[in-house]
Amino acid sequence: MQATRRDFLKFTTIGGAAAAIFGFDLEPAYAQLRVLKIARANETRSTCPYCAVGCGTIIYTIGDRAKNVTPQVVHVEGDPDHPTNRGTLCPKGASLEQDILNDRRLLKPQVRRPGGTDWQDISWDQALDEIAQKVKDTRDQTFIEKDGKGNTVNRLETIAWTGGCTDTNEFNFLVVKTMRALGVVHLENQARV
Amino acid sequence: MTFPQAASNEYDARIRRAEKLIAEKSSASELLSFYKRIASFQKSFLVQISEAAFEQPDAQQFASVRAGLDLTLLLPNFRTFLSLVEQHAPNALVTAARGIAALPCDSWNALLTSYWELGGLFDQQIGAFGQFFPRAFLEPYAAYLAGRTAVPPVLATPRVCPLCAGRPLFGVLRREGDGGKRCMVCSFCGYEWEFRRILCPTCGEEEEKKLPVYVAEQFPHVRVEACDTCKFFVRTIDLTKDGHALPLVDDLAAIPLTLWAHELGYSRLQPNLLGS
Repeated sequence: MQATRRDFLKFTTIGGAAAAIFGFDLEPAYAQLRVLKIARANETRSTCPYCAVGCGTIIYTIGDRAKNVTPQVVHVEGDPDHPTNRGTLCPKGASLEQDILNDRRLLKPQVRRPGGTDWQDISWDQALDEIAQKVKDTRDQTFIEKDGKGNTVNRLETIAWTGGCTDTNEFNFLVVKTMRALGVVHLENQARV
Repeated sequence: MTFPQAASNEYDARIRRAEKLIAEKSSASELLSFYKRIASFQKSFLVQISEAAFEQPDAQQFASVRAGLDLTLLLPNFRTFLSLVEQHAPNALVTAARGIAALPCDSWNALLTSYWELGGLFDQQIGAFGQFFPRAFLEPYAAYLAGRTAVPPVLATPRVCPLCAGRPLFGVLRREGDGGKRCMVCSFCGYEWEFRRILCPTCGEEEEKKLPVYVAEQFPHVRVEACDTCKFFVRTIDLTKDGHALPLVDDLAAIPLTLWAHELGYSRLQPNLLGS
């Protein structure tokens, strides 16, 4: 015997209200229903970005999907279904929520000048201009076109790149292309996950 | 600890939990008071049938829960059960119980046998009353058989019970590492099997945005896990938030959440014993 979806829906609705059919007084339940404070959350699977283990995580986001509401991350926990960590997380992974929500997070560039002791706020335009100028000056002055034996090497040993563990694959792809174009050989982007 | 002792302790715990929730949740006190009576009957019934079965020299392992119905063992207790309902249930159930009590024994046979075949599969079609009596009566026996049935190897995440093919009644989150492992509990035999966290047990939807989880301040350990694709929901009791909860009893007590979900257009995948 196979039930159609329409039948199934119809009878399920009846089953769901069976407490009233049995004669139970649902008035107290309806009274509580009117004062329920309910939050909607979504659970999203993700991968911890910190190390090469690649633990699975579940990220809780609340928000009622209204257009003018930004979903808010409220909790991160280990994914119990993930074969690597089966729900566990190390202290760094367990603090992932603070990687997303942190009032100490820097939102604008800062610079500490040679000999200086304090960090100064600068604009993005100024930061990018200064970095570009310094990269160009350094490269112009120290670029190695040929080694001591006359072999063409086209390398730049005075600039290094260190990537962060939360960089994405796409970002790291662009980093490698850019650095290799400049001749940078000291390159680490922690692309392990 | 022997099986009858373990079963007896389990039902005692359910009764204690129901008493606690009666004091705390006025919205479900009438339901839970009646459930206490049912649980007391189920406890003595289960102890009785398990002792009788153990006395048999050929106490066996079953290949499937549904293969093990033994009405000669069960039927003598059905009238006692109907009397209990007549004494303690609301009026509509009392009338139904009297109607069933007046039927000949063959009709009881048919009622119990048809539920045994279809319970947990298509019991929405059996109707509320036709479902309640055999379900409440046979529940302990199905649980007893589930404990004596060999569990088949599970290679994927089954959406129905691996022992009896019943649909899940509710979910349970148990601590695993720093998170919560989700299990489903069978609506027919009470068997609990592991189930993926982000997967709809009704239609198999996996897209995270279509699987919202609703939690009310008043029931912080009870989750309404809905699916926007099929519009069904399953309730999950989060034991990582309240380790004292007993899923079966807490599920009965969360009736305001069922009403709320219905208002939002979600249907429950499988109603619980009292339709709450």
